[in-house]
Amino acid sequence: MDSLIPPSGQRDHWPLMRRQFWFYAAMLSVSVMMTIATSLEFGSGARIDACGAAGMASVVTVFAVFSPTSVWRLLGWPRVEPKTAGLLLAGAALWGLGIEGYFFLIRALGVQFVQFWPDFDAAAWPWWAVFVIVCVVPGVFEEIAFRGLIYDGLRPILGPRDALLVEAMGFAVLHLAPLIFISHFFIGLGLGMLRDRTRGLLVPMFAHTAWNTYVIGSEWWATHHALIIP
Amino acid sequence: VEVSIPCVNCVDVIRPTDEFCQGCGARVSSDQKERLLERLEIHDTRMAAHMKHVRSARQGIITLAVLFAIAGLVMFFIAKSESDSTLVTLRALPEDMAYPELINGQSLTIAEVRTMIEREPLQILALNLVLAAIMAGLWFWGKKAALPAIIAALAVFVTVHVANALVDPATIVQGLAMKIIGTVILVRGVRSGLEARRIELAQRV
Repeated sequence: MDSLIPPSGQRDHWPLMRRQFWFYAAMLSVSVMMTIATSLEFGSGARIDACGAAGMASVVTVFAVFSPTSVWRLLGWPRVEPKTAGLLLAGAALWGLGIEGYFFLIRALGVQFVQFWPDFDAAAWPWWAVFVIVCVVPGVFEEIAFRGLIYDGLRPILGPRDALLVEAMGFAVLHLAPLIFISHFFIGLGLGMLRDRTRGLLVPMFAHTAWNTYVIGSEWWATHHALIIP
Repeated sequence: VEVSIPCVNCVDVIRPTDEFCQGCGARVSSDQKERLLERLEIHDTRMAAHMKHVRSARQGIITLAVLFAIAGLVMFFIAKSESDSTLVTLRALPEDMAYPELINGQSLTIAEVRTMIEREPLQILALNLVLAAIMAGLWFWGKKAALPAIIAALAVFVTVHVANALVDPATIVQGLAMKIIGTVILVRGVRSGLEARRIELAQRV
C-alpha cells in the first residue's frame, strides 16, 4: 500500500480529484438525460435505452482517450492460476446468490424493477440488440469507467482499499435507485476485487456482462415463458 | 518541523503516513496515527485549518444521516395518512374491477392499486432509512479514513438530490440553501483532506 502513495509529498492531488468529479458528473448527466427522455416519452423505450448506452459509451471513451493513466494496458489477457480461478468462480457464485437473495427481499417489499422486454418487444428489436444494449455495452463501458478510470484515478490518492470502496459506492449510487444501493455496492466491490486479483478489466467485464445477461434472461423467462407454455 | 512519536516496541520513531515502524516493523495503530495528526496540527497552522474543515465535513455527514432519518419518518406519516384516506375510497369498489386510469402505463385492478398504495409509505420510509444508514456508515468510516468517506458522501449527496429532482422537479428549490451548504462543506472537506494528506506526505520526504 505504501508504494502506491506518490513519492513526492508536494504533489497536488486536487486536479486529479477534480477530473474524477467531472467524469462522475458526465456519467450522471447521461443517467439524467435518459430519465428525462423516458419520462417525457421522447421516443420508444428501446430507442432511449440504445441512446443511453451509446451516450455512456461515448462519455467513457472520451475520458479514456484523454485520461493520464492508460486504460488500454488493463485490457490484456488475464494471467490467473487455475486455483485462483476456481476460488474466484466459487466466490462469484456465492456473491450472485447473495445479490439474488437481496433482490428477493426488496421485491417482497413491493419494489418494482425496471423491465426491458416490454419496450424491446414493442419495438420488435431482435434479441441480439437487447443483448448488446443491456448486457455488453454496460458490461464493457461501466467496467472501463468504474474499475478502470475511477479506480485508477483514486488509487494514488486514497490507496487501493479505500479507492475500491469509493468506486463501488459511486457505481451503486449512479444507478439512481437507493433501494438497490446495497446490492450494487457489493456488485461494485466484487467486480473491483476481480479487477484487482486478475490485474485487468477483461474478467470483470465478462462477469458484469454475464450478470446482466442473467438478469435480462430471468426477466425474459418471467414475461415470455407463460406465452410459450400455456 | 519534523513530527514523530516514539515506537512502543523499539527505540525508533514513527512519522506521519507510516503504516509500519521502520525499526521493528510493528504496525502503526489508529491511536498512534491520531496522536501524530494531533502533533502535526499543533506544529502546522495550515494543517490545523485543514483538519477543522475535514471535521466539519464529517459532522455534516452525520447531520445528513439524522436529517434523512427524520425526513423519512415525517414523510412516512404524511404518506400513511394520505394512503389511508385513499384506501377508504377504494374499499367501496370491487377488487377485480379495472382502475379507471393507467398507472405507470399499466392497467391495474383495484386490488393491485390498493396493494401499491398500502406499500408506498413503507417504501418511502425504507428509502430514507437506507440513505440515513449509508450516511451513518460513512460517518463511522470517516473516523478511520476521513477523505474517502467525505468523497463518497459527496457523490451520494449530489446523486440523491439529482435523482430526487428527476422524480419530482418541484424538489429542486426545496431546501436549496441546505443543499448548497451541504455541498460546499463536503467539497471543502475533500480539498482540505487532500491538502492535509499532502502536508502529511511532505513530512516523510
